[in-house]
This record gives sequence, C-alpha cells and structure tokens, in this order.
Amino acid sequence: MYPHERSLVQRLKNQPFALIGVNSDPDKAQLGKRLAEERITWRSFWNGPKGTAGPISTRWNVRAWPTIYVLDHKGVIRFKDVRGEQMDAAVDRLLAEMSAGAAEPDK
Amino acid sequence: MTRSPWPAAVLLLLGVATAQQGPPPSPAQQEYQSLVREAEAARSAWAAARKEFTQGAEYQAALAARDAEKLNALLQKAPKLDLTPYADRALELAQRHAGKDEAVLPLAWVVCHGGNKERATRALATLHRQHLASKQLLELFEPPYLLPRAADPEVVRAFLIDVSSKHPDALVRAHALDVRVTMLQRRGASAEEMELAARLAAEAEILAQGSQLYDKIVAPRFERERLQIGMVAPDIEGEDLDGVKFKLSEYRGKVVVLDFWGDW
Repeated sequence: MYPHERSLVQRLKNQPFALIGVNSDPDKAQLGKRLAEERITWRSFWNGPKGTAGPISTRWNVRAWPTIYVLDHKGVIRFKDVRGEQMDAAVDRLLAEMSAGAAEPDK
Repeated sequence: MTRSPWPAAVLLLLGVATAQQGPPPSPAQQEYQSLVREAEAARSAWAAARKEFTQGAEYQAALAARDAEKLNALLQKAPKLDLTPYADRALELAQRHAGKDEAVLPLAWVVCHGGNKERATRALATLHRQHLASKQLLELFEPPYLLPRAADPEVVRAFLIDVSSKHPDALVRAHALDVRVTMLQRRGASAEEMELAARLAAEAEILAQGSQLYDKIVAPRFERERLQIGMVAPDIEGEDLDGVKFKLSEYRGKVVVLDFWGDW
C-alpha cells in the first residue's frame, strides 16, 4: 500500500490533489517511528486511542481497512474502494474534469 | 509580543491544574493498572514469539506443502499464552475489595481478557450478584463482541437483561442492549431473533443519544443516507498525528483521496 500511495503523492505534488488519511493505530508513539521508516508524508486524522473503534471510522461505518473514498474538488464522493491503478485512474479523471470545468466560461 | 493579562505564575498553576484531571489513582487503581500493563506486555511478547514461530522455515515449508497433519503437530509446539497468573492476581485484588467498586475493573478484566471461559463465567456471576449498579461495568461492553465470546452465553444473557433493565445509568443500559444485539445478530439467527435485535437496537439508540455508541448504532444508516456516490462528503473535524486540529473541508478545491488506514 505505502509505495503506491507514496508514488501517487509524488507524481501529483504540483496538482490540486491531497491524500488525507484517517489513521486507526491506537499507539501514536509507535506510529511515529513507522511514519519515518515508511516515509509517510501525507496528513492523517488520528482516530484516537480506541484504534479501529475510534470516533471517525465509527461514524463512517468503516469495517475494513483500508477503506478508500475519492472526492472531487467540490467535496462530492465520486468513487469508493478503488485500489492501485484504479485509484490513479479515478484521481486523474477528476483532475481532468476539474481543469475542463475551469476552462469553460461561466454560464 | 502580546501581553497576557495573567501573570506567568498563575498560568503555570492553571497548566498544572488542567494536566491532572481528577484525583490521582488510588492504590487499588494503581495495582489494577500495573496488572493490566504486565498482562499486555506478556500478550505482546507471546504474539511476537508466535509470529516468529509461524514465519520459521519448518512451519513455512509445511504451509507451502499444505501438510495439515504436519501443521497441526507443529502448532502443538507453538508458544502458548498462559494468563492464569494475571487472572489470579486480579481475582485476589477483587477479593480484597469484595463488594466495593474497586473490585469491578479487576473482575471485568478476568471476564473479557483472562483467557479462560469457566473463570470468566464465575467472575461475571460475581459482578451480576454484587455490582449490578456500577458504572464501571462499561468496561465489559467495549468492544461488544468480547463478552459474548468470553463466558457462558446463558450467564451473559441473564446478566445483560438485568443490566439493560435495572442499571441507573442510561448509557450503561444502552451498551448492555448493544451487546445483546450483537449476540442476537449471529449467522443463522431466526426471524424472531432478528426482530428482537431490531427492537433492542431502537431502544439502545434512544438511550445512547449524544454518545459515541449512538454514532455506532446509527452508522449503517449514516452510510446509506450520507456516504453514497454523488453525495457531498460529511465534514471531518479532528487532529492530525502531530495534534494539530484540521477539517476535511479545508481541502475543498482539491481532489481528495480519503484513506482509512492503519499500520498493520
């Protein structure tokens, strides 16, 4: 998972794109070490000391990890649980949609 | 520089006061906490030893060959976790405070984490007899799947019915109902059981309002009604891993991949 996410973030670093995590590790100190080891640079919400039973994943009814939502630039949910190449394609498509929308004159 | 209206010494005192929330732990609480820490350390050490064992050459070879007999024989030699010494200490601690609130957490630990069904059932019966009004019973109910697996199901059921109908605290009643719902919603449940589960869940939802349990109970509905493709994602407010507050909505104007992840 990490290498793919790293390369996505790297490839789109100059684009209007963000990878936002919701991290469900209960032990933040241990996680700090892993962030450095795995070169995880993207920002994450912390789901709190209850780990997978924490408030954010509970509210979003997350029962499997990882769970992925892809949102467009208006904040609309456009894809769910796309992985690997599908994730890249989904993001590229939304970025293309966004620049096409920006090029169109306002009606 | 901005001038604070408070002298530095006052701010320092305020800082100390807010850092120590509530009274310091009593000796019984300290004893319980160190017991739990030691048991957790033993569990981690066992998990690591077991992982090393299952990644060993002999085990991996048997796994690759799909040799079930050999795998079973090897598993006999795998590292075992014996929590009896910790459970004995917890029971002894509970005995010293028999009938008092200090006994509840050690007994609850024996029930949910003590690793022995008969011992767990006896401890639960003690909680049922002597501590039915304790708020600390909450410790038994999170996560809700622990209790039904840990002790005799009939004893668990009788306990939950009493807690959910008699406990003075609405949130404790709601949690007891939530555990009953998890017990009822097993695979192969009858139509009557599913109907009862739905009724109990509705009662739990009312009792749990304003708590995180409420969010959990309504989560499937929240997903259906708010998290479908084409809907604006609900905002998330929280702290990042450095403790800095932020909101998902700050990223409007960007394409966002929202990734619920964990390092496991």
